[in-house]
Amino acid sequence: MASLGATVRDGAVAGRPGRGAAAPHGRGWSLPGAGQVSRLLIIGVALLGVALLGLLQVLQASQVATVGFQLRTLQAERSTLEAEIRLLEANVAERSQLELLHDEATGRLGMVEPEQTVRVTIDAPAPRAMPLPRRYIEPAPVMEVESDPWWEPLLERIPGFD
Amino acid sequence: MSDARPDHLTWRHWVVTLLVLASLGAIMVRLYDLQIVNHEVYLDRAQATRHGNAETPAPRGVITDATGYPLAVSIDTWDIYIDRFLWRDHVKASEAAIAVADFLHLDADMLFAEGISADIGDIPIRRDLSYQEGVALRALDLWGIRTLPSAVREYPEGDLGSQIVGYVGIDGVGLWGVESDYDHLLRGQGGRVDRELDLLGRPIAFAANTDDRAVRGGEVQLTIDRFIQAIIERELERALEEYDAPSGSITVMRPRTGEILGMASRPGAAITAEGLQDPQLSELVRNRPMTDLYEPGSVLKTLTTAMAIDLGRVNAESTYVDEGSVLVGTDTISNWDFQAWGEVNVRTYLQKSLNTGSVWLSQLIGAEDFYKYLKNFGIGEQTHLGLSGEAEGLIRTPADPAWYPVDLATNSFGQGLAASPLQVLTAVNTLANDGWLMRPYIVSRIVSADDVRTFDPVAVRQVVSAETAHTMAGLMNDVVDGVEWHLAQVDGYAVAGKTGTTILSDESGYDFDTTIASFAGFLPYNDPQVSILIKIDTPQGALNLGGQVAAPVFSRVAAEIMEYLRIPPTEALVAAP
Repeated sequence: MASLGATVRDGAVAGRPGRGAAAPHGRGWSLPGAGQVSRLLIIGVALLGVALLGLLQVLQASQVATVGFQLRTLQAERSTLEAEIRLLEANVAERSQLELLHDEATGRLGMVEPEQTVRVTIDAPAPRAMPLPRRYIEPAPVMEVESDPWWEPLLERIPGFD
Repeated sequence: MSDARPDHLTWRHWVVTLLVLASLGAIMVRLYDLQIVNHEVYLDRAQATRHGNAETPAPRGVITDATGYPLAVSIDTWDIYIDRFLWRDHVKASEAAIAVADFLHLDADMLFAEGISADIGDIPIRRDLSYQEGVALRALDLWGIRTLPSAVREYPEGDLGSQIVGYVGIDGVGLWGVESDYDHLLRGQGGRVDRELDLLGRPIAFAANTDDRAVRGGEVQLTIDRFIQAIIERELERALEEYDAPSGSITVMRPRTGEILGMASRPGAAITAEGLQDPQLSELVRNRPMTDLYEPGSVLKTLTTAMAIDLGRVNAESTYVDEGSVLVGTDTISNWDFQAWGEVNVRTYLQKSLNTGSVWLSQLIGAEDFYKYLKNFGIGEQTHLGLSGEAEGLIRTPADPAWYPVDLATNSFGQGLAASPLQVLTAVNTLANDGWLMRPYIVSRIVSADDVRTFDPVAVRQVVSAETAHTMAGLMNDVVDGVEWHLAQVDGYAVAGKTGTTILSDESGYDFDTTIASFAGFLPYNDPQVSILIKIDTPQGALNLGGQVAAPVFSRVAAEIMEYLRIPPTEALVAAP
């Protein structure tokens, strides 16, 4: 007796495994029996699994290759940027050269050497000279502001605790 | 049948079998040779084929002045080479030659001829191509054109402080100065990139590649201030020209810390303009304030006086009778002006710089204490400021068989012994620093990839008491501001100082026309911020004394430095209404 879902063709019966499903007999082709289907299924699934694993490996390798390429590109970009920073630092230094500053002051801005220096003493500290570039400036101390504990506002909401 | 195959092995079979076995044996032997005997050799060859590697140079660290301004900086460049192995393909080589010649403005025919003149080896065609141009050239991807990263050292302020900062040779190694002494820190650590390559020579992304990045060299920050350095170099050159002197030096320090704010000496080399071609280069790049010795002359009277006061043998008002000369053993020692001033006190003796006064004090001090104090002042010893090539000094002591009692007398006014200008100024600084000898230093900070080292002032020892130091500062102030005409005076500032005139000797004895004019002082005298030593060697002409030659230079230099450092005047320049 054919089980539910089984396909019958040319007298061959495909049933659930373990229920006496017969091997295909007779002429022409026929669907495999229930036992054979299960083995094929397992093999198919296994093959599919292997294929998926292979695909995964290929995808992973591809991903690694892509990331590796991006990494090398970024490293090259970083090297270029670092070189440009060094170049810019040198440019800044050249443009703030003492002789150049003097020439700019006297030539372009029309300044002259002081003939007399007038000093006025005031009762206030002189401003601190700020060194350049800015990486030599000591970071300003972080002022730690003492805040109330987190639970205090909650307590204040309770009547009688204010 | 006659053509039936025999049922046993014939000699032919054996021959074939032996041949096969012999062939197999030969293959086995060859395999043994390849796989076992020469395993390492072939493994290396295989890896060399499959692996590509390249050295990446480390950018050299920056040398900055006290304000953070870079005095020496490295800029990335490219060196361009022709790979003659690849240029064996003449068609591709000619195309590359035209393209690269066009890019670099070179002669393409000459490049091509040079490039194909041999089958192997790289030949350089351009060094230090700018970084941007090199990147653009690389983008062209020309056949057989190799671009290797390089760097060029630049000195934005040119030759300013070149004897201190130093210079880097074409091989990237420091030749003198900070560039040489701190080369190991500035150089950094070169990187190395190892890549596994595919058949086309392209890096395999997910292979076992190593990428040791180059570590940039450390930054060395000096205590030198470029503004002060520029002031003293300018004034030194002006003084040498004005007094027709061949050489000289100026040293500026902070007496309370030992920081060297500026150190200049001439003659110097025009390195940035003329390179390293000057045959006198080693002479010209010497940092003379620390490498050269001189007889400090009357500047040393300040130390002698401090010793006598510190031992309690005299005070500022103690007197002696000056007869113009004094007999020590069989030798007569005279005042520099050959005059006798009668009864004078310590204050006047210093103001008039009388040699007889120093002899008097040295006899009160005694040889043992005198040389002990001199050693404690650091005279005749290296200061260990952190640069190589520092001189020690020359002093004869009673332990020396060649020492005579007259040496004590002459040493007391700075003759017959030799010290470097740096030693002398360091010793004078003790009188501006409550008697404490500070170790001079020129490097304030070293920033490396993983560490920041800051150098703090080091107090070596207390040589004289604070009271003695204050007394001496007052006496030295009287030397300058107590004399109406003194040329070392600075408008608005109380100066403490002492002139020195060293009479040079030759084989025939002392030549009174050949001198070293010097002046050492600090200001403001009651709160010393800066100390300065001026030394002008053998000034020609009528003026050759310390008070005539070095004192006015001190005045000009000190005035500019006070203004630059924004140190308020200690005296009112205009009376309040």
